[in-house]
Amino acid sequence: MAVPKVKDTAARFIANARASAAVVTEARSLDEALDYALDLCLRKPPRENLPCGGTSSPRLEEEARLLAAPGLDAASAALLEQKGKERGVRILRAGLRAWPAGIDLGLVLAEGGIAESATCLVDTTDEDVRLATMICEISVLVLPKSSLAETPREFAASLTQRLNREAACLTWISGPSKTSDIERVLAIGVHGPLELHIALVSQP
Amino acid sequence: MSRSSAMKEFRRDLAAALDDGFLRATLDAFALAYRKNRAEVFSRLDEPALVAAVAEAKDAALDRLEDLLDSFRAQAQRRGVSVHRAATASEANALILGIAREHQCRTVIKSKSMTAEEIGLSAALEDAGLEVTETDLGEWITQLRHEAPSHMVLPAIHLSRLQVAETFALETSLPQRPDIASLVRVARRALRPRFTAADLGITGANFALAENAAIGLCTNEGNARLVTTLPRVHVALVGLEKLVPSVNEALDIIRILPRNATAQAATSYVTWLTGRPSPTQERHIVFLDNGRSALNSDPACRQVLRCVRCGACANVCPVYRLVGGHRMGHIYIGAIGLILTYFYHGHEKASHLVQNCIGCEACRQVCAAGIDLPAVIREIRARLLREEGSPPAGALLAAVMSNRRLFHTLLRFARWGQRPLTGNTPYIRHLPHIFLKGQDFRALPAVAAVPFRRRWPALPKKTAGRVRVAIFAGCAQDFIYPEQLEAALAILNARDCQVEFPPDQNCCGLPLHMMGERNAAISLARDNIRAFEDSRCEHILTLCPSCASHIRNSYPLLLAHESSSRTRLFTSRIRDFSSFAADILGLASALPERSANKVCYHASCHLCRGLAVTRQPRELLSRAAVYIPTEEEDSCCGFGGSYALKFPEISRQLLEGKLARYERSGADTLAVDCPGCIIQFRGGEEQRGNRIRVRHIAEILAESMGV
Ligand code: SF4
Repeated sequence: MAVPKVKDTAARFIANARASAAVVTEARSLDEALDYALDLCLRKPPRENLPCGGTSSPRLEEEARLLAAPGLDAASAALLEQKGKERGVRILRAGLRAWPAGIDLGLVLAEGGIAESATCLVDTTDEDVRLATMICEISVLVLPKSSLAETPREFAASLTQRLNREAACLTWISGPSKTSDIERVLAIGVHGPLELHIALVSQP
Repeated sequence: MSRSSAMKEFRRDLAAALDDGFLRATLDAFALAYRKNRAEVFSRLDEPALVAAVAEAKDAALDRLEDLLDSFRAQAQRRGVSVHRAATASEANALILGIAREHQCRTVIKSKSMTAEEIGLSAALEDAGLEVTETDLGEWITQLRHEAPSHMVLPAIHLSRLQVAETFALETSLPQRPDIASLVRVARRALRPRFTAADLGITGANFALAENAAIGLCTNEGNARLVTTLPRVHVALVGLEKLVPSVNEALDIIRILPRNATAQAATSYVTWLTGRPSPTQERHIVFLDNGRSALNSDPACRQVLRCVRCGACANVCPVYRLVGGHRMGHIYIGAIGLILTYFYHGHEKASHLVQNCIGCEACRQVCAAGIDLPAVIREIRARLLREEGSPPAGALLAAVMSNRRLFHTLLRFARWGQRPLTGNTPYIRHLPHIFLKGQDFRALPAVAAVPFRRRWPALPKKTAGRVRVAIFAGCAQDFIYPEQLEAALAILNARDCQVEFPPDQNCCGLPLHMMGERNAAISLARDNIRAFEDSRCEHILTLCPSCASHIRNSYPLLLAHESSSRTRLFTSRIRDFSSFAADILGLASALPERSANKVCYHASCHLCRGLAVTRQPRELLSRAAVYIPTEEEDSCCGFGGSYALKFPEISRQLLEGKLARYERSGADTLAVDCPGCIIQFRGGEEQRGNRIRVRHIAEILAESMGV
């Protein structure tokens, strides 16, 4: 029996994402993806407090974890707040600019995925969403499986539509921030996230 | 500085680079890894189609650059973004400084932009009292060391982790371990406060879309994202040639760029931006001309504006691999660097740099935008010669070679003249030291006692047969290795070919064309077309792929203003030996049982890249003998015609690297298609004790057939 196309595409996406040093996990629902992010957040060492010149971040109790999740709808945000409270993780929904010294984990929703390059398409026009994928130590992108396509071509029309707006910032993310600038040795996590996790969600 | 002393200084610089063991090892490892990874990342993609799409889209955009700019400007203004156009580097610097002053900016962060390097933007801003920080790791390192980037994508590839640790220790006033992961963290910590404190962020752009005034940035580190987000003002400095109509063209660019640059399927980030970052933040787009419009109306060279700055032309360049980027460009590096130095940074800076191309065509084959880089380099050499005048040797050579009778008479006399120098061997042994300076890594061949053209009347041949063939001898085989042509003739006779040798043929003109002697090259092309015009042959066979590829690829360009049907009648009949033997004569299946000889193979640049012939010679060799594949069969041998005379130190390194690999392979014979490569390899082996026999593939096949 022929395997449905989306399965091939998903398999290709997952294989390519792993090759690009991203971690892929499959989740049945957003709820499950939120739990995954909270687990990650609690398992990691507390964020490094990067020096930030004049603009220092607000202080947080020792060992407390900070999870930024801008751009969620009200219901999901409330759910996350609830889970955060239960598990002792502080949830930040906006105002990320005040935290340049570091955030443990940023969770945002991606709206499309390209299998051939394991790319996640994120609308980062909202500055908080942008910063959540930039200054957090771990970046978690929640990607609906149904949004996967093989090549960038499939997104040409929607990309144009967004760029035709008055202002837009769209970010296509393929793997964590990386560099090979010293002796060509790949090192993960330069200015951006040190880890990229993609939660492939089957039910949006 | 005079031309010759500038060249001397350049050669001293090259010699120093060749002595830099770290640089050599790093670039070697990079070249090998790149080659392998690139093949892998393109394996599931139709590469030629993608390259053609990029070339076509860029050409179409270049045809209407001003319209695209108008549309971009209108779209940007609607969105509250200011668009500027700078005619020159200094105008762009002044413009950006003006923006900084208008918004009271004191601190600047930059992400990597070759265009900013091109105009010396950081220095201009620093001179005006601004504090500028490069935030790309490699560029930050080179900034701290006050050095120029040595690669367009990997700016600090010339530095070791030890050097980086020392630099960071000085910057942070703390001891730093030479451990790459921790050095990267040092940069993360040290640069974060610069990002948050900066007033002005400066980036380049990989493309600019006319339809919605969007710009695109491809990065791996993520610094460009912070640069465009955190400061109050963002300025993007964009070369005019980055304008394309729409998302469609950009999608092809982002597919090919990372694959060709670093063999990645995608960069970690592609950022698409339009409008202002936020209502309280400003965005300015500065389009830079600095010679681009003039270049766009220069039909012979405008294709270089297609460049997407992937840096691949450096990655595959055998000379870059030996000497690094600081000797392969002024700001831009690699083949495109040689070219853009001429157009953007002045003819004087380019004059010796453009000589440093060996003509191996590796860059043309790999270019993401399908640019014929070697052809443009030859064109620039010709222009420099027109501007500066031919050096005496080049002018003399051009005058002699354009006159066939004189040229051939001199070659015949050379036989007598060389006698005291050869000691009756096929090599010139006793050349006064002054002529041999740096050339002693390989013996130079002597001119044959009787050239092929004089042997021809007495050679057995058929006047009727199933395939009608005319021989184009080429200078090297006519006058140095006539026995190779005799071997080929024996095969043609055995395979029932009717063969002729039009006597008025002359040098194909490639050496002169490479030196920039364009008029002499045109005159030789005309002579050869005339010499074969009355021939009724179906195929014109040459045993020299350099001649074949020059005739096929360059004659139509050199003679663009003359009758194309006459040119085509000649060029379309030209065949190299291996593909003719395999495809027309069907020799592979006609060979007797294969011998036990162990043969390895050198794929000549002009055969495998110039003519894209790769299968046939290997097929023939594996039928005739035990063919032992080796690594990098298709890398250049270092001959490159007059290149070896100009840059013997580089030629020597290329040759010795190849010979060492072949000797290690366990083969007893090295099969080669091109007499130029044979001069190089045999000469090298003669000095190394002839550990391996170097033969033209025609000689090997003739022997195997027993003819
Ligand atoms: S010339 Fe071609 S290969 Fe070289 S950088 Fe430009 S696009 Fe890449």
